[in-house]
Amino acid sequence: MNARCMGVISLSSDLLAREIPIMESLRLSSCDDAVGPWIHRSLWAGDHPKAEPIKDEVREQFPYLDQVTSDNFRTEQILSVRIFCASRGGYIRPHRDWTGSERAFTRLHIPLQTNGEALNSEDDSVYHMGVGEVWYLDGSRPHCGGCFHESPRIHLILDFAPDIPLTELFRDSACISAAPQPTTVNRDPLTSRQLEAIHGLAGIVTEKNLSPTLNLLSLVHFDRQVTSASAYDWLITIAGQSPDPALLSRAKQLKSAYLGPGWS
Amino acid sequence: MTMNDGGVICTSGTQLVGRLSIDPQRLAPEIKATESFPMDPSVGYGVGSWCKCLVWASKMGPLDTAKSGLAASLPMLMAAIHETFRVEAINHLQIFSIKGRGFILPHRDWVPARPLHTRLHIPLQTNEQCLHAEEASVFHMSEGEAWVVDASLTHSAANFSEANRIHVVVDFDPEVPVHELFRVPGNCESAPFESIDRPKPTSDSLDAIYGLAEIASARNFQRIADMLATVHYDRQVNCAAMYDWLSEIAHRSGEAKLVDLAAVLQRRYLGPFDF
Repeated sequence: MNARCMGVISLSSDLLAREIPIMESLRLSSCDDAVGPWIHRSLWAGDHPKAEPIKDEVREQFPYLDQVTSDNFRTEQILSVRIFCASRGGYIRPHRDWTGSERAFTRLHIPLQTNGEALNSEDDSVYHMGVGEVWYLDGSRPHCGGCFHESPRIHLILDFAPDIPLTELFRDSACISAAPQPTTVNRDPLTSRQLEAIHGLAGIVTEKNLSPTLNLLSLVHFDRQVTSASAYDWLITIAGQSPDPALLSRAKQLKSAYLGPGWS
Repeated sequence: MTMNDGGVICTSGTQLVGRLSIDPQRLAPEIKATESFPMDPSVGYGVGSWCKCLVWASKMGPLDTAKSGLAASLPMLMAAIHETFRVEAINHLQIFSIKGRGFILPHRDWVPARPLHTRLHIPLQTNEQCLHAEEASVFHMSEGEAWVVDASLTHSAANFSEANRIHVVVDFDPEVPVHELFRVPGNCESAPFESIDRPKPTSDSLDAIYGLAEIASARNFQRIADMLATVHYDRQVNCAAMYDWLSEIAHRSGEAKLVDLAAVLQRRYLGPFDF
């Protein structure tokens, strides 16, 4: 797995406790690639190297998040700052953030509030990020994230210019303490009966439920030792058994849209 | 229900009862205005882009003098509703929106013995891929039609197109007879609807559904429910059947937690309710 915890920054639980209820009460934006309650909000935006805090009444309710960002990171390299909030089974479909060989950005996740059912994945690895941990995510690999608990998982997301070495994203090395042992989730292998059940969905798949079928298949890797990208291959196999040729075409389009053309 | 040559004629409480005199082209700016309304996605009920927004409630004051708020941004629609219906009998007025591909899970809003409202759906923007289901029936409501929907029966709605589907939903005092909801009672029609014919589920279909017991987990159970909530649009089954399927899947999985979850979902969507 290329995603890795780079260390831990110091967060004030008192100051976070003032801002987290505001985040939870905000009407955040949904995302076409999200399923269930997975929502986000921009706090910093603009064209690099001029990204800056968005001047609106929402961001101004989060002075501590501004402080965390500017105290710990080289803000002059920031492309965007956002909060990602997920709960009650909300997740983002397995995807890659870019498909070429050039990185589009360097993304860091910093959990502000989390629970044991807040999980991320990369390829066939599933892991959990703890509060205050600073995680680098490799957007070139198939990845996915969500929260399967009633309590919201809230991450601060920082996107930096892609050409800056990871170690130079921090204001200074004193900002971050040693990384803990990562919490990875062991799952049982997918059995042949389970694979048969997945392929058996050909018995009910139609144009009307292709998307909900993908939404279900995208979660299997959180329970079984398979890569998140398998969801698209299963969908193609299922759709290929349908008498409707448009279904197979649509399944292939979905794979290409989320993983990029030619991904195998 | 009775059969005719084209399909099944349904004679439940749900029926086409009239039309709203609106010009879709002239209403376009108001339909556009609804896009900026603060919509509630009704998490757990709505899937995809299904969402709703309360436009007006009787506690806000008389509808015909609503000069502020969301109702004021829909002047032509409000005028048409005022011309057509006895607005003094309206409890709530909502916008239900599905901005391309979304649906609401089969549910009941109240039980027959205690109707909360007489509910009218009036599509403002729709297409043939926008469907409504009630028990074993599936049908389409066209723009401008006013439909009484019997929300004590299990029902669901979906938009399987990329285009927007927008309904105005008017909740009336349930004590007022339907024909008296109209300003001119003679304008009230009473037309049963024709259900779209679908093939019956095959043994392969049921094997596929029950086979989900192999991969069901607490993490994906809601997504299984979402997927099963679309099957009745393609197959001749009652939309409530998905809750029986969920229960069977849960039992076959051998996971007590899933059996509990299936029972919770069935109670949440079908009742009995506490109100």
